[in-house]
Amino acid sequence: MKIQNALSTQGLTKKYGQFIAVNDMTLSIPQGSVFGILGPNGSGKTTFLGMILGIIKSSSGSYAWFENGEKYPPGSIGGILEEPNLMPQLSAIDHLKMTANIKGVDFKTCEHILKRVGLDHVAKKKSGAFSLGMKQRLAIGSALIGDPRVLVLDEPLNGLDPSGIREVRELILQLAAEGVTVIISSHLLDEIEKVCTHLAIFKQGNLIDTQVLNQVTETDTVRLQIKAEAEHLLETVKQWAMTKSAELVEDFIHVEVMKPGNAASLNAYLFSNNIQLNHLVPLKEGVEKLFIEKTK
Amino acid sequence: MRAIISNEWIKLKGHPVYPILILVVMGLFILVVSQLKNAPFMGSSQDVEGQTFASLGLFDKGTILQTISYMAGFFKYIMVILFMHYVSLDYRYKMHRKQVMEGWSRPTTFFSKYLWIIAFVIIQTIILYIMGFLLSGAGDKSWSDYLSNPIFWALEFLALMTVGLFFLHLTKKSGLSMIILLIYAVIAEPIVAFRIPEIKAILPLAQSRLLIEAPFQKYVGFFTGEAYVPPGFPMQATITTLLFIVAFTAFSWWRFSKTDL
Repeated sequence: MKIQNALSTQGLTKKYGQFIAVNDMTLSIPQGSVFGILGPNGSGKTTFLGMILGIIKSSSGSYAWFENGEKYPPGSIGGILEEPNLMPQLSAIDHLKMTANIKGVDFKTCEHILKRVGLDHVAKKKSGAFSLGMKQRLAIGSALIGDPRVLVLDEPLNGLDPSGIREVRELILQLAAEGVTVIISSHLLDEIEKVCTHLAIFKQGNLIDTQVLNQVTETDTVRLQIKAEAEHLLETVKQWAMTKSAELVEDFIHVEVMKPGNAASLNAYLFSNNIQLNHLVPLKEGVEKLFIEKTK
Repeated sequence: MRAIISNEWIKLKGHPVYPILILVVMGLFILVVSQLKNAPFMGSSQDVEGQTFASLGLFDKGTILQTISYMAGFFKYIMVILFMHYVSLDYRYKMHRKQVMEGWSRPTTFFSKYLWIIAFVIIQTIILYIMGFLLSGAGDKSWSDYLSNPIFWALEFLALMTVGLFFLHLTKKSGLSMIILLIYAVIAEPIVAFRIPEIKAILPLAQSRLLIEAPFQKYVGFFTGEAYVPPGFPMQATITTLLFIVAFTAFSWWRFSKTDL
């Protein structure tokens, strides 16, 4: 079955004079995915998100939302870019009402959204008196109005305390479960790993790599490091039906085992071949390792 | 349109200082003009000694529209600066960015800022007519000769406003754009118009100033007009001012449409 894309970009480029902020960016973001964008400061994440949100003019290239290739489908996308855009003199409910007006949504939705982002008790308080975390949650609330098909969140966890981060994470997972495509940039690698299904790594305006995250974070396979005082260990491991790959790394053998195979079943298989392991450790090669490798 | 009015109303409610100041200035204008009717006219000419504005005919039927429209021009800088500062809030708090991200087109975002400006111009023009009819004295002039004057005030105000907004869209900074506007409008353009009168036709504010003839110029003493003559329809200045309003709005839009929000 063909995967429908929420967004496709083709050679998207942004130049400021001689400086190339985003260079020839071509990528596709599948519908329903939680697409994480990682990159060091100045890697072009915000500029890229600004271009696909229609607020930064691209120098060249193109982008298209959804299957019919709309430039910017009104009301279908909710977004936050950099800091929350709020007028300090206006209350939380006023901000949501303005968004509801723009998206043609009933004002009743605003109260529901305020509850969802945990700001219903300060609905009439001026946003200027909010903490950064509250502002961030209000901005996320604005982005959620109108049940967008895509949510674009640029560093949405900035300024949030641990419980706020957990709330936003749960919100993202809940939205993803409802079929909303979420595009998220963050410096918090651990958070990206927890919520994202896909990953793109940016460096100096270039797209370095894209990954389906469960391939990075071992959800299809289990990676194990084993060692034994036995001849033909590598060959024996390779002959096992659940082995996807096996290689010698220094004194150890790194085995990638297809699920439902796991450490116990590998151990049992080797034991039945008269090999007794004296070292068996699961390898966790997550986003952090990939990020460091790719952005070196 | 409903959404634009509703959103701009929410913003205005959140910043009551702007409508309050605008109402205060409008109130001040009404007060000054109404008190002026019987106030002594202060001019250097001998024949105005002991005369009031009313006795000089400046509040006569018809003529009054020219007098008060011209005087409303004295308040236009305060109004324009208030509006520029109000419009600049959208830049300061990145409301344009928010609105475009949420689904408004750039033209909608851009032109939504003209809502209160247009509303103010309409209200102030109506006030000029009402004041004219209420404060009018007797006289043999015809109303129809002067009915266009409040509309000329509106054009003069819009010319200054559109130039100011152009500077604002250019710099995205309220303070800087106001300084540039004041330097341009009060110093640069008048000097250029005085030194090189041949290019007056291409100076937007100079053209707009030609719309309403100074009603008391012959009494002030600087001028040597033989008799007071009701102005004819300033066709060239009207067309040129309209063209400048459209042109500066277009320049502002061009700048807004090309810029990153």
